[in-house]
Amino acid sequence: MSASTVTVPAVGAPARDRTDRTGWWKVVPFVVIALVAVVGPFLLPYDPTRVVASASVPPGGDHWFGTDSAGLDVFSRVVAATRLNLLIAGLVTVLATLIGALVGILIGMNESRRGPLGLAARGLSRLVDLADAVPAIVLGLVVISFFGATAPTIVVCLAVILSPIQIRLIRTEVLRVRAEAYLDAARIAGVGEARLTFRHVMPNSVSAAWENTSVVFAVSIIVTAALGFVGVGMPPPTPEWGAMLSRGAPDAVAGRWWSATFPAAALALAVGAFALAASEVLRRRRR
Amino acid sequence: MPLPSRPDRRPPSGPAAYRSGTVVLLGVLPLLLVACAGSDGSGGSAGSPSSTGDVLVEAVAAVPGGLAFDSKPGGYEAFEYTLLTGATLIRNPYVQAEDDPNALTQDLYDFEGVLAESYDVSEDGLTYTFHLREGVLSQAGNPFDADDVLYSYERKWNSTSIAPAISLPAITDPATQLRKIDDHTVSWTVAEAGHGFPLLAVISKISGEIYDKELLEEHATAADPYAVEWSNTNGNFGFGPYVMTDYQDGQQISFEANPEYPLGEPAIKRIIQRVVPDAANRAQLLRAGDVDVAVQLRAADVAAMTGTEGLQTFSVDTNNFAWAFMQTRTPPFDDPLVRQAVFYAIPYEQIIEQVYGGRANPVVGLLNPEAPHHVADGLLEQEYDPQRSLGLLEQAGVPTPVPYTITVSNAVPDMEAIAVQIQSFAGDAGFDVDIEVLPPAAFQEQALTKTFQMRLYRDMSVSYESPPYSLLLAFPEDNEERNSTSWEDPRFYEAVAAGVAAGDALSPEAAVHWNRAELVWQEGRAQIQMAKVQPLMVFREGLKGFAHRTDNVIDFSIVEPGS
Amino acid sequence: MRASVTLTADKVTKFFGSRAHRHAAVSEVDLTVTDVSRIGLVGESGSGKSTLGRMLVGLEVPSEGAVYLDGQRLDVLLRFRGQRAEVRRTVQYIAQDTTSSFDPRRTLLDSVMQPLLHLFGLPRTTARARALETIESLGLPPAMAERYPRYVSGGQRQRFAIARALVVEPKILVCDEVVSALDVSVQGAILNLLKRACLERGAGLVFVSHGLPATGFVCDELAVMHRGQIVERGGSADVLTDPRHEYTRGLVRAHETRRPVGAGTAVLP
Repeated sequence: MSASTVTVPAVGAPARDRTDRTGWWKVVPFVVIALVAVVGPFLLPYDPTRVVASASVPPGGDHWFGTDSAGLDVFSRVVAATRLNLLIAGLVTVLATLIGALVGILIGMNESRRGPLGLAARGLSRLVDLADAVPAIVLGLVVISFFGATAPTIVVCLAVILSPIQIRLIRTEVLRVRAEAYLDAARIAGVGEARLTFRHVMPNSVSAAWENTSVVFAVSIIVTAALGFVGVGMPPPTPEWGAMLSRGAPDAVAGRWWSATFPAAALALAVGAFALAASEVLRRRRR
Repeated sequence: MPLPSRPDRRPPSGPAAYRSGTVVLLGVLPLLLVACAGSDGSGGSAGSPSSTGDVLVEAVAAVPGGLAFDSKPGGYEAFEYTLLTGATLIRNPYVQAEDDPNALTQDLYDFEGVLAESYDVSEDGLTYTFHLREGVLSQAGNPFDADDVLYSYERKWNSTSIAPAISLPAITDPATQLRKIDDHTVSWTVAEAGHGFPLLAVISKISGEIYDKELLEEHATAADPYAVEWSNTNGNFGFGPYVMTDYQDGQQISFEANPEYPLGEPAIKRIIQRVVPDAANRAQLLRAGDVDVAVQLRAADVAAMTGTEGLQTFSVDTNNFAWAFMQTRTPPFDDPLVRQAVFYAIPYEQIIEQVYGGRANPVVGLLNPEAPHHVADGLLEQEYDPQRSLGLLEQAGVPTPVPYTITVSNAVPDMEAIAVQIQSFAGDAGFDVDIEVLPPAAFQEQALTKTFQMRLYRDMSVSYESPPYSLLLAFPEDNEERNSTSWEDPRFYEAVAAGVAAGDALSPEAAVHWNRAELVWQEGRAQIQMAKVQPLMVFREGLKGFAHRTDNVIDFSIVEPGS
Repeated sequence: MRASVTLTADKVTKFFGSRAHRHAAVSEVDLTVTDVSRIGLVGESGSGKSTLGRMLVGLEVPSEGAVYLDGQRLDVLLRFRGQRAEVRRTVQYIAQDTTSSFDPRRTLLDSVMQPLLHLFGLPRTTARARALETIESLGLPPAMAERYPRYVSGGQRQRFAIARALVVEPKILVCDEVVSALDVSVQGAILNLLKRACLERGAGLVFVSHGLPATGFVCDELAVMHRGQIVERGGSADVLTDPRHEYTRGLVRAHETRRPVGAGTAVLP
């Protein structure tokens, strides 16, 4: 028989996504915030770490967001903190996802094996469950009290503490992918196990974790802030939203709302903007 | 018909923006929590009785770490507990404060009897004989007698109590100094006449609490021969104005007036101490009328409540110092010139205005200026003078800016605020300051291991009025551990000894030596007092009887509902 | 025709499950296939036929017994890269599951090229050309090969799977339920394609299936499996018209509604 065309009609190319052009605005808020992080510190009206006025001045006039209980300018501090909070959150997200990928694949590929490798993988899985069971803030408190509160310590500490989120996701995906027939097909095609893991399993397992980065980003901003709230944040008067919230919360109770409200709003905006932008970016990637 | 192709891993559209919305909501949660914080309070439950002459509700930060002073719990709550349930032989009488019409204060140079009716002094000024009150019963119903006094001091010196350390120089060995004359008479003998006033100054304070010997002996064990541990968890082992009736760990403690109290049953019949850990919440509860008294508030909150209708704040001068201690063994504060430079690099007025809202007083010298015959010659007044600081640093030959780290405890927020002020104004004076905030345990640890450069904390000197006590408190001779600055100068100890040798600690002769000691101390500059903080407790309108005490707690036995 | 390659399963057994609760999917089975065989393994689900098929290509390791390729133990050969490649060039496999038999992140052409790149070390251009050749010979338009797997139908994917298996010119091809998941109207075309491709290339065929008529069409011999064992084997026509084992009879009866098939007859009802 000649190579005649198949009678079965082919499925056509995907229809053009109707919302293709209209979604781009979703990235704008986060881009603005990122700009603030980069450029903001050069355009501050006041030094964010120096006493510049009387304590607890209400917003208005010279101090758009007022001053806090030490006499530091709230606006300058909120803007200056953007860089630190975003940087930490960004690094933590990347690191946590990386750890998630490596550990998740390690566990997922090996946990049902016999022998020492399987044992090690299952042990590692239990360890991850343990880390996940302890609340992030408690773990963070303990670790940072030990190692001191500097930006690198906080980044590493939070990345490790939040990685179980990604590890678990990727492990689940790996378990699914392992059962897929194309792995056997690759083996039949002569692909070695290691290459198989990195060229076939990994790329097909990490997309869920990619989509989850907005959650990790949000959580890491909030946990950094929470650590500042419970007093193991960066040393004062480093501008950081959580520490500002912590110091401002008692004043808010007394009616001096501005020193806590503005950092809280900045926090909420940053988290929301990132989630919005991430949802748009990922939607495009999926097509 | 072709089979459907493999399902996409596309999540349903729609939730994308929905998810962002959820995350924004989560981020706004802190805002809402802050706004709602006012109504959240572990103590502010509905139906809390306000004082009607019968019940008084006090908002406190925590329950005491322990109920026995000898077990070293320390802290506001523990001291207040000791005062509520304990009694001493003598105490300082309360007099009207000169700087606040609504407050009383202690007359530190006079004494009145509590468990003792009266006392006499021998001719040579070495023996003080106390005539004990008769017919007094303990909270457990046991009669009070001389055996209780001797037993109490035996226990203090045979436990981990801080009493021995803070009773110097007057009491070194009660076994030989304290004697029972008969069932209702005891006598204290001191080594030199100059220890006389210091003796009275120390036994009139909470460390001089007398215990119920019969009760404690009932509960003594081989491992706990003076029932220190038992008393630490059970309380009510003394002769004080109140009896603890209920203890809910972490929640509240209830007290009832003791009709057997030697000075008469107190006017307030019931007291409820409600635990509200957050200072701002305590202030809020008081503002809302849910409690009658709130203690250990933030200075800013007290300042805001001053002049508010329905509340009373007190501005009496106190001995609640904000201190800066410098470690003299290691750079940069191993050079006295650098330490003296720091004295001029601190923005005192800023601190008083901004951190305490004006509710703090400047300090001159280490000793109480109210003491009779007090000599103030040569004592420096606080002054922020950056030029002077730079001059001293140049004289010292150190390169500027001089970097150093201030350490504070995260349990006392005004210390951090002071640190920020110091940091901001340090640059012009030739210093570059970093701030380190530690949890209380780590903060304490640093003091013991001397691994700090400068540490800030608030503290009182309970027997403030006794010059040798105040002078030696931070610089105990031959007590490496308690001398956190490691500053020692033989001229200082010589001056103190000379003052003691002068006989009467309050005499003009002694005053000359105290002044000398203060000048040596000033030159050494291992400590800087930054301010005396005015009282951080607030009463509701209608309560009378607030008195400032050197231990900075409230004496509820003199509080009355007034008009 | 003379066989040049022989694949023998010698008393192979496969246990699944933990040591306490294990279950023999395949139980002491002997089977020999060559490059001129056209043998069908039939049976219901759970009969062990798929497992046996996977053991024949080395994707499962027997718990007891061994598989031999030209007299050498398969598990030993697969341990070393050079010999592993040789094995894979000789014995190929097509899985049942069409939905996941291709990496969704690669084009169909990429997947078909993969065995050429890894088993022969061919440069990409050569591999590409050869792959396209095979694809076209199976009646697929070359443009379709540039698509991603989810954009073609199940039947088309299965053709690509066949292309991927045949591109290395194996001597023995093991197919596991390759048409079972496909629409009936498509099955016939695929089966015809398979049969012809194997004939043209001189490859032996092991056809694992639960569908009797289809298997009978494609294969000369049948081996009936039940509960892990081969209960009957023989020529297709014989087994189908005169089944001896009770189980086989039941199987045949279940397919009674269909016309008995022989070689050369189309399968479609």
